[in-house]
Amino acid sequence: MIFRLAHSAGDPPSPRTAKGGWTRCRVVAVCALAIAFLGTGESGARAEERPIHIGLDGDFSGATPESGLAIERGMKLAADEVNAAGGVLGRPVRIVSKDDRGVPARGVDNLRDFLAIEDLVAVVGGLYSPVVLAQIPVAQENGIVLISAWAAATGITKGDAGPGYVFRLSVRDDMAGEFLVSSAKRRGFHRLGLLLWRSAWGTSNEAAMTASAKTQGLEVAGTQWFNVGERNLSAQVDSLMADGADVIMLVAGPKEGMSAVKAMAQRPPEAQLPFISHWGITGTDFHALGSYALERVDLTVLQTFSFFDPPFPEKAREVLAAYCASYGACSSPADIVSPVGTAHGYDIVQLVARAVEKAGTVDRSAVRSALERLDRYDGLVRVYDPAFTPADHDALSGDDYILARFDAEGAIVPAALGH
Amino acid sequence: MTVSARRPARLLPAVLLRILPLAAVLMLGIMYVAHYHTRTVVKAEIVQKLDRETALATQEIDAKIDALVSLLRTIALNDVVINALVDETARVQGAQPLFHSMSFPAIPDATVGFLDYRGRVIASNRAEAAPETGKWQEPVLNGRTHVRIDRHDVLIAVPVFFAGLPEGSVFLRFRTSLLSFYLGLTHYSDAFALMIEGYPIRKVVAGQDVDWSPRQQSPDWIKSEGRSEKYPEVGLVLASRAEDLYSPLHGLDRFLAGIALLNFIVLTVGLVLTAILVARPLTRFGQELAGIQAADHLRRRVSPQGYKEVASVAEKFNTMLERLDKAVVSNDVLASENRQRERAEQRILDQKAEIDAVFDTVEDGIVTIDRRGRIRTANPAAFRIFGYNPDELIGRNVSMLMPEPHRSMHDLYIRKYTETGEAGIIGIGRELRAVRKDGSVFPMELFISDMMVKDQVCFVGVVRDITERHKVDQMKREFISVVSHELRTPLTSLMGSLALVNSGSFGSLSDKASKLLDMAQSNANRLIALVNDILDVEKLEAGREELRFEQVDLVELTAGAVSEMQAYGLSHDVTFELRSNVEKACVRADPHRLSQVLANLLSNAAKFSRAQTAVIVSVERHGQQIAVAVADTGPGVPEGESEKIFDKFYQADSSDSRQKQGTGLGLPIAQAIVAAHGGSIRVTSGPSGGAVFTFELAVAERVETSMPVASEPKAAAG
Repeated sequence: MIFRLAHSAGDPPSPRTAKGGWTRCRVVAVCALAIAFLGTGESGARAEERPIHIGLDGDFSGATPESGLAIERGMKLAADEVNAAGGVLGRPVRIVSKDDRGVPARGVDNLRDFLAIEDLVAVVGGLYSPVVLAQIPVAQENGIVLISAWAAATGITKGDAGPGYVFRLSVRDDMAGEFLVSSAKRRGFHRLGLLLWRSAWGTSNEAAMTASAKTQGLEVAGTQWFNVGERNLSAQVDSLMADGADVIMLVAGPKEGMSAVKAMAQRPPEAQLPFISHWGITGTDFHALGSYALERVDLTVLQTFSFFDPPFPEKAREVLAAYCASYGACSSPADIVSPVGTAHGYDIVQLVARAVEKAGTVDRSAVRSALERLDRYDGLVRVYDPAFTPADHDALSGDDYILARFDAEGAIVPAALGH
Repeated sequence: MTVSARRPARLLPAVLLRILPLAAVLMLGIMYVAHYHTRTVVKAEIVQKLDRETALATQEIDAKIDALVSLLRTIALNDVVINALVDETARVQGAQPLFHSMSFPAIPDATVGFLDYRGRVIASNRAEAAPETGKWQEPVLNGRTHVRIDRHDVLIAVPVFFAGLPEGSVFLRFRTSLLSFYLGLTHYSDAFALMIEGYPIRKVVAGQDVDWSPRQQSPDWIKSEGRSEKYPEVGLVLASRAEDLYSPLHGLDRFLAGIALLNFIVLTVGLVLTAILVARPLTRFGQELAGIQAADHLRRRVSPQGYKEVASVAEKFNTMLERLDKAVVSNDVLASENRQRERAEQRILDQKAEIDAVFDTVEDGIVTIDRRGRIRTANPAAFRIFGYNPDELIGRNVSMLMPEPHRSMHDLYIRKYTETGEAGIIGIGRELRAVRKDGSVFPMELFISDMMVKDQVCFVGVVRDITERHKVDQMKREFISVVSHELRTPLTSLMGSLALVNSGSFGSLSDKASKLLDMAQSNANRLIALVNDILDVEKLEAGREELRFEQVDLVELTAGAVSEMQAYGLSHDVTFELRSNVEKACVRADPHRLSQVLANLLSNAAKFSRAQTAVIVSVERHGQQIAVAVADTGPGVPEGESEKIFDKFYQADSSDSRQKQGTGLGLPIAQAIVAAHGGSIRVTSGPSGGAVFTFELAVAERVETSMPVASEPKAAAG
């Protein structure tokens, strides 16, 4: 297979979690069979109890493969924690991942596949707004909770039809736009140059930033679009500079974002403009795509969480320790590539577990209702009190947003710490 | 050879009849070869051109299909398209308008579409385009370009990559019938057919779609088939109508025919002219020859004019005439010589007939033998003598006619003669013995001579049977012997009686009685002497006298004889005078017998010489011969009788014999003795008249003991 359509098993095929039968596998077919039964074998005493599934549809092999991985790891850390504490409704929680590669069609297909999985109570959406937006009608129609862990398009939770089954523990573009525009204003920029991915997400941000600029008295000097996969954004950058922009508001995925950074880095320092970027670029190891260029431009990026400066360090330390224990040698927050994905995934699973517990059933409708009636939860990113209400399915607010930079090693550090 | 003036009229048709058909056949052959060759070449050219075009066309097909693939790849690489994969807005605002706008003028019906990873339509230029679910998607979604061309439609699909992996596809589909319009290959040749999976999809002839069967073999069409290397389903057949290709050759054929006809005409004219040009000098030549023929002699000559070849013939002809002329003259001479030779031959034949008649009728046998002793010829007398038939004798060795030991020795005799030339009996007649067929031996007289026949030595033997003569001689000798013996006995007693009576023993006798008694006694003595001589000769001839050879000085012997005979000479008033040019002359001889010879010769000389003359006796050496000569002064020997005087009882003048008191046997005895010594005796006339008797003996160099010598000659021949 060229690409992975899905992670059919709840746990990564790591030797640490495998039991005796696993190591005796000799052929692939036997391995697959063993993995299929791991769910029952793993829980030992609760082996007779069927797991409660939480789906993840993310990008594991597309332009931002680390985004899916980061969310999955956070979710699994949370699931492990929940399961260690006895699970939900006395049943273990299992994470089922599927790869949409950032392609809406795949996301929709994956979502339909999730619908067929028994006792799957919710699906977590990945980085791409277009994917989540494409999934929404299916989720609403089929009555399954869809929680965005990274996609930021305003319309995800603010659609005309109302949020319904769709929740979000992520940035929302209208708030991000306001936050980013105000950041620009704080740094003394007046004329914004918008550089946007031609997509639902880009459209969402254009609207948000244009509106924020207006309210905050800043001018949108120019707006430029690009398509996914474009390798040279010099024309767009030149155009924005020609329009008289003094800062570039970047709404892009990692590859196109790096194309913009490289286009800027080619210019002499005095002719450069700073970037204030939405967080799409952190869906993969952005620094690794062009560290040389990145070190030569002024780029700040929206984040919601950093292990370097967590709001609840004790909680963050525990999660970090669990992360490093589960996913290999890591001693520093810098080793976590896309920290926001991990943090959001972690908090979402905790919230869903609580919702199922509260609902007392795996009925998807009941879980949806329970999500709207959750009690306070002291999460990794913030204190959710409550996370969602029937009117507001966004768990985060503009207050949770921070600006960050890439340090020399590529770690995303809060801008306050970096400066 | 006669050449008349009408000859050219016959030469020309002959030349034309022989050459023109050949030329016509040759030209037709050349035309046919040219016709065939040009078509072969043209066909090869056309086939090559078609093959080239086919290769080009398949390349063009590849290139044009590649162009479509390339176009689709360009579309698939477009970021508007890729963006539509990941964003609905991009799909609605970007990709869908883009695909809606797509149209292919060359392929009016073409559907172009954009499918997601499961074949669902993301965008298309046709609303009704159904989602694709074909198997082809799997390889495309594995990143490979897919081209499928079958009889119904053409499908080309390329993957759309997103984030490095195939995430969808762009496809182009159209009816296969449109492919040929897109490919637009009609300009390649007369006829063109696009073959898909072996089926003709479009058949075009001269730009018009027709019902043409490109798969059928037809001599009317020259075809070339090709197949795309990249897209093997796509093949094509290019064809040219053979008739169209060959039509330019018709002009060439006509041109060739014209050339051939012109050639033929030129050839005909050339042949006619040549025949006339050749015939004219030949005609003149012929006329001249006719003139020579009419002249009836060979002095006239042909004039060597005109072309070199004719002139050369004339010169050679003249040379021939000259030789012929000479030949005619010499022929006359030859005829005359022939007549002479014929006459000579006739003479020779006549002579031969004569000789043959002599040969056949002669009493003597004549035998010729070759150098190896084989009998070549023999005459009837020879056959009669030897008692053989001709076929028993001719070709056999002559030795068969000889008794031993001559038979065995004969070959040696002949070889000795042929090697040394030393002849035994050749040229000399001999008596010898021969053998008849019945084995009886008989005496014969043989004369042998040699002769050359065809460069080969031959011998001619003339044989005479002397048996009868021998018998007569024998009878004569026996008669004389008997008579002599029978005479001597009574004579002896008669002599004794007469001597007794005359001695007076029986009383004195009257003078007259005494005188008669003396006369009787003298005649008795003569009679005894005669009888003794006859016996002597008989003995010598019969070989019963044995000689005692010893070394004898002939000078001394002669001197003694002369001395003894002086008294006898004086009785005839003749003296002897001895002359010798040597002091000593030794010979091997019986001195007693030789003295008898000398006494005989000296007594004869005394008797016949005139009174008071001297008889000259000389002993001289000549080389290896000692010659003793006695020259008298008598009347000499009459001419022609020098041989006869050695015959018995010969007297030159018989009437005078009594007067001279001889028996007539002295010389035969002398000759017999000399012959027994191997010498010879002869008589010649002296310079002053008178006779000179000379005998010669060989000088004896060594002293040898005496040995008997056969009275017969040693050899018969050789």
